[in-house]
Amino acid sequence: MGLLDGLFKSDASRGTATKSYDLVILDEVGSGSYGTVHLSQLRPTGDGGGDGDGGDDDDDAPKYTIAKRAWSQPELQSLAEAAAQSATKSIDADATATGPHKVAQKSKLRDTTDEERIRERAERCEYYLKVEEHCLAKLGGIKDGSPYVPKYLGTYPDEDQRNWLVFDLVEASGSGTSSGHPPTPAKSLSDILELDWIDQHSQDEADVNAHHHLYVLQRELGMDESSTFDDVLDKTLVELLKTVSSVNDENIVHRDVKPANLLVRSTAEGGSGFVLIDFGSAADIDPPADSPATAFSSVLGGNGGRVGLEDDRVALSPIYAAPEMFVRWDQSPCEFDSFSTALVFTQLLFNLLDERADASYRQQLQDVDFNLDSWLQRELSAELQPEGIENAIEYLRGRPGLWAVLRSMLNPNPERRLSTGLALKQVESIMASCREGKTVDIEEADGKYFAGVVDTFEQCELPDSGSSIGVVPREEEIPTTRTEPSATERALIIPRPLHYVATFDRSDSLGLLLSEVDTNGEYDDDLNEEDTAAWIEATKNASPGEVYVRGVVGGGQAEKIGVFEVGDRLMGVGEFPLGDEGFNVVVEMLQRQPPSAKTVTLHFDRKSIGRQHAYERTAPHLAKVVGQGAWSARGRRKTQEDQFVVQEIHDGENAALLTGVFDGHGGDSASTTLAQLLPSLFSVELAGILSNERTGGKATSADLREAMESAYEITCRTYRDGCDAEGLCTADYDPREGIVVAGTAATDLIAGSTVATAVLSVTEDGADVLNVLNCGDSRTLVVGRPRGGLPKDSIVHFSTRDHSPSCEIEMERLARGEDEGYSQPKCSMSRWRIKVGGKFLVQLLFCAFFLFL
Amino acid sequence: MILLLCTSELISYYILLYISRPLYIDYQYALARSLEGSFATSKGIVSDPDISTVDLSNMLAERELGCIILATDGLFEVIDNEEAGRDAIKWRQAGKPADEVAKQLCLKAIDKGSPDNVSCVVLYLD
Repeated sequence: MGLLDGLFKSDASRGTATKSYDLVILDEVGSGSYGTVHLSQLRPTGDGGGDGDGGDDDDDAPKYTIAKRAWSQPELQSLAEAAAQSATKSIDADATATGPHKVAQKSKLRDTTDEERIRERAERCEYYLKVEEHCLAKLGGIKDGSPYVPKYLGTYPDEDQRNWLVFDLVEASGSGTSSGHPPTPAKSLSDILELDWIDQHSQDEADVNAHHHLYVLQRELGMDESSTFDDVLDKTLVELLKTVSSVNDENIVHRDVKPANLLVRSTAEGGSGFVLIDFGSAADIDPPADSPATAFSSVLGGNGGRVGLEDDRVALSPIYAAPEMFVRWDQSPCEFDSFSTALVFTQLLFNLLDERADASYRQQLQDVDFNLDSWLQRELSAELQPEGIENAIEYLRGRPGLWAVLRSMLNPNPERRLSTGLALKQVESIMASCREGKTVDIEEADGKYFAGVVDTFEQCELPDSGSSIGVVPREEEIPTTRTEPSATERALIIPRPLHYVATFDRSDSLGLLLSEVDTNGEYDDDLNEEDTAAWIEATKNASPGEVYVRGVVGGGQAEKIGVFEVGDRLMGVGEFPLGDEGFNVVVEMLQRQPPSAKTVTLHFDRKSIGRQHAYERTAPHLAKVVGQGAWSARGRRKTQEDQFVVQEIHDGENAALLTGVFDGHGGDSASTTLAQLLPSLFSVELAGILSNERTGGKATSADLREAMESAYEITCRTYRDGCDAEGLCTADYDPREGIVVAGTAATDLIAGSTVATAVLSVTEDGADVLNVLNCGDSRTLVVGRPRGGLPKDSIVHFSTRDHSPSCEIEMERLARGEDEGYSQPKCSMSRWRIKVGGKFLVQLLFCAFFLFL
Repeated sequence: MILLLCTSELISYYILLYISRPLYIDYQYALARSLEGSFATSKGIVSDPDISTVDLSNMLAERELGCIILATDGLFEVIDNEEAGRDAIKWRQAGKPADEVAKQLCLKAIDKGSPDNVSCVVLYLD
């Protein structure tokens, strides 16, 4: 304690007011882990307060203020006890069996260490307040009346002689004291975002005049009713940067810029913006006047006694803190705030307003090393994409250069990060050129990748026809013995990939010759007879600008992949679909891939040409599984949401192998439910089928299929209802959400999973058929090398159809369900997507308990 | 519904409360079907499956080194059906066991830049 006290002697005296007032503490406004904040009033000392004669002098009137103090040691003690009580009571109760003596000893030990910890904590609390006092005194001393930070009025004791830091009150817009009530303190940005989140969900979706997603913020900023989403974002960004840079300009780094620490100020005079509060985690980069710190002090070790940097400890919000976490006075320390500011702004921009979204947004950025281009690329390719990206791209499209500013503010290296001051200048100039209607090349301003995203804003891959390979229609029961496939079946098992994607190493040449169709039939190369025929056939109805595979370079990457055929049509590069754009655009698109990407993916489709010859055949025989194995990798994701099963089910003379992969999204509760329930339900269902219908109890493949189908249906129902077939319900406990009541919704409300399962008999005889069940975009493939086939013949015998929104079958299905409230696929950011949004009620079961001693 | 529990030594009451609370969903699905909670299902992301039957004995009459591969889209985002199948056949012929093939396919997908989880099951047929 002594050490910290010594440091602040000079500051404390500077901050103390000379005029004498009494401090009256009123209602609590809020409290945190290190102190409490109250509404307060400063009343001039002496009798009667403000009603003396000549009372029109403002200084003599009682004045509403905000007062803040650190928790004292006894208060921390009781807070800790209250928190510990609930957690330890049950443990103590359990422990009574082992004898009271032991318990007493245990708690004694704990008490001594707790005491030490609490004393240390109290010191910390004091320290944060002193840092705040120092920083605000410095900011107030240099620019009196800054609208960007609370005006610090001094430290005052209350009647219990506890010291409070006192600030001017920032009032909520339209509050006012005329009615006699005390004024309402201004709302924080985080309060407002919560209201906006509720606002956007309480509106009728069909309403054309619906509020944009920052409507409440617009109102609180005192903006005109006719303002648009773009106007609010412009104003917010400029004001945020003005606020934070005004602090950074004084060489103070705040280190806790976040929505909860930004008050929204709006005054009658029309000035509105943000007030940055809570400087407890701040640091003053200027060395203290009475310290011998020099530029060499870092060499000597330490931070030269700079306020806020005395040791390596600081309270940070993990979600908004810059990746360096600890600032060094000689390594662009103030740029810490630049990162947090950009994070707050992009959250508003992308409509990531709910509490779950901001933590995961930070995590997603971290996963791509805080590269915004890579983040966007990942979001655009993700299965679930948060709403709001489209509006954001539209906004950024109108402000060339802004994406680059944000990208630079989020740079993980503080020394390469754009400062808030420079960012403000750049943003103002970007907005000025927009107002003047200057045309700026977006590729030059924001980079190739972003320009590509903007270019393909409303383009999507063409809907695919939904054909899968080798699917035998379900209605056709397959007899167990047969000789030749029928003609229709033959047509169905054309082993050609119709729509495929190939991934190349970016650093190497593709080894693929691509070309547009030349109307005069003049090409630089000579194709052999077979390839010429294929080229002509494939490009027969080509529109100008379409790009086709003309050849494969020997020994190149494309040849190793071994998929390409002359005449395959290029559909897209990376995330970008290729319209009728031509070869030059392809080259450009290849360059547009984010620099961090190691690979580049190309999408192709192929006309179904039909097989030229039948393969050699041996006698049909039953299939035996001679090897099985599985692997699952978390890969680049932070969490593993995939699950798989490979399980043999034995029942008397029957043996079946059930395999499946389940790709979970939004959590793993759906994929886990599938992996846990499917195998056991399958064996129960199979046993049921056999006992009901068959004599001899020998399962046919139709039985296996039936068991798989009904096991799947029960699993789905169980997941949605939280109950099993017998009516027994599970209620998983979630510490944050409470217990979700079975029958209402699954625990993790957005968790879902794709399903790909296959089942076949593994008795000694072998299996005649494989039963495949698919829901989603995981796949089951059956492959094998054609006997007597050519090396380039397809090895794919069967593949499931992906249930993608771009599939025509799915589009038709969803269109049929439109009346029932089905969402319709929409082309959004170079992909077809289905929007699922809205409000619904869930019942949560909370558990509270009270102790009476 | 309120439920009271009482422990003997320390008199403590556990109170369980049902609270109805609005929750919001705001997502764009790049999937047309999958197993979802009731809300997304009611919006058309249904769990209706495609069920297919593949005639294995005829397939094996025509093809050798038969393999069944099940994998999540983490694999198929970056590796085509044909490429995955060729790799599996090639590695099987080289004597690798099925679990090794599943592992190699997953690793290849990650190496090719798949940003997703990758899972794979491989069966060998004879």
